[in-house]
Amino acid sequence: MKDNQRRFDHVFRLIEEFRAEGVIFYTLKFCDPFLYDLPQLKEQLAGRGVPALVLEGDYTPGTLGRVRTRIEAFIEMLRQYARAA
Amino acid sequence: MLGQLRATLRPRITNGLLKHALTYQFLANLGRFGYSNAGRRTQGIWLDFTAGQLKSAWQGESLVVWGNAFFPFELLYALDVTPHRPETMAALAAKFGLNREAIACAESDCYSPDVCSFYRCAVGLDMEGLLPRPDIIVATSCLCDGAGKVFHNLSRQYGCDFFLLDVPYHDTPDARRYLAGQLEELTLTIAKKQGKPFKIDRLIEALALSNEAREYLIKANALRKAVPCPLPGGDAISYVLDMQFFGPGSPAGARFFKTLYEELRGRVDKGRGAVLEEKYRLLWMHYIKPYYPNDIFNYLESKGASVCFGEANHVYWEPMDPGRPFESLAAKMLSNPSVGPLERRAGLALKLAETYRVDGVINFSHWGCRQSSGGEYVIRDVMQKKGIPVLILDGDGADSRNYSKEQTRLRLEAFLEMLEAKR
Ligand code: SF4
Repeated sequence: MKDNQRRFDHVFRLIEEFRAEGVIFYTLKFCDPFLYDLPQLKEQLAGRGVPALVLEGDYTPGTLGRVRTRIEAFIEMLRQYARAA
Repeated sequence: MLGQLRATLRPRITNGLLKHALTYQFLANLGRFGYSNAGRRTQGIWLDFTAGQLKSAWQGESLVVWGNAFFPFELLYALDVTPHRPETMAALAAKFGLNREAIACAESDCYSPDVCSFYRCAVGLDMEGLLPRPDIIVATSCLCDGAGKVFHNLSRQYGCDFFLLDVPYHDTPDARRYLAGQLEELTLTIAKKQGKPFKIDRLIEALALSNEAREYLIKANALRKAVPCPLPGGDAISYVLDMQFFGPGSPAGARFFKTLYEELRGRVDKGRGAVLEEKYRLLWMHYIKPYYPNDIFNYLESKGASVCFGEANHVYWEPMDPGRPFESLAAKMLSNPSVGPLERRAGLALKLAETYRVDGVINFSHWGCRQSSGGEYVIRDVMQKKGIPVLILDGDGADSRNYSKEQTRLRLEAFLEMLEAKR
């Protein structure tokens, strides 16, 4: 809980290990421990050039349509990244 | 053109003013002389105290230590550092209309609109350069997860030391020893950073001042049983509460509560109160209220409803023993009814409702406050079993976007009608 850098380093290790090209943060609405990590984690990922998408959900199907559109846009962005690389 | 110029200049002027020592000199004098002469001595002491700390922090007169509301500030006074209170700044920003821009800033940096607005606002103020630079940041793990997380994020931003006091859930002798150990270690660490030895006498002095403040707060609270209640509920949860959090251990804190007691004594003797014809007496549950302009308290008072007490002002801790300073501070922190099982807080709510003979309870449901909203239905049930009506009032302490005057009024109106019907 205290040192969230441990969690961030773990995320970076996973990115390398699984050769991930992007990161999706899925946080449950109102989940403070994860929500408060986002600003720092996003900044550190940006510093490493890893694209990230933040999705907030609440375990209801109501948001699914919007989630789908956002994921599609994110994948499209990753494709463009890959093409440009 | 003129509007554009005003929009560009306004933040610069505000920014310049908020950082200038002369501003605080002026505010301190206003507190010391202006308010005292106008018969608002307590508010004057608070203003003088707050302005003095801000001036010292902006000028970097000593190590600047940021702390949250549940941190024992007695330690900071004993160490002679300059305390800084980001949560107070968020409330003040709300009062003076600087909250919207600050909150927008924090949200643009990925702070979710669903986390506590006091922290979003404080982060935003910091991003706008409106908070003095910290040398050290300290926080407690109670009452909520937010303090530890946000203060840690901010310490990273500045590359300064961060210390989190781990406050155990249960108040046991072991927990008190564990917390006392952390307090002592933290004190010595800060003293080392200052490069001077820690003087235990200063801590003993701070505890004596804190005990003095406590004595007068208890006496002032007792006066709030009077009809009409001599202290407006809105004041009790603003500058009085701020002083209760951050004043104990300082000479100003002791002076403030003595003066508060004297002012209230005078009002009770003259039969004066916020509401002359008290029709309903209400208890306010939560440590905060909305600080941006709103008409909740005015509306209640206009209908003869007096918020005569709030859980936030209750003195839950025993006097501290200067012979065992760290243990005493640990005991103070752990005896907070909002720390630990919910039964403690619900039990307190009931006790306060009976002591202050209230007709109903308003449980303020601050958006984003998990520690409070998690328990509100349990508290409502406990109260209702005793026949005390409870209104769970949704709102937000610092983000005015979550306040609707009409909706809030409707809910208050319905609640008062219900109290009337119950007579
Ligand atoms: S209002 Fe609630 S969430 Fe916000 S700082 Fe206080 S305890 Fe934490």
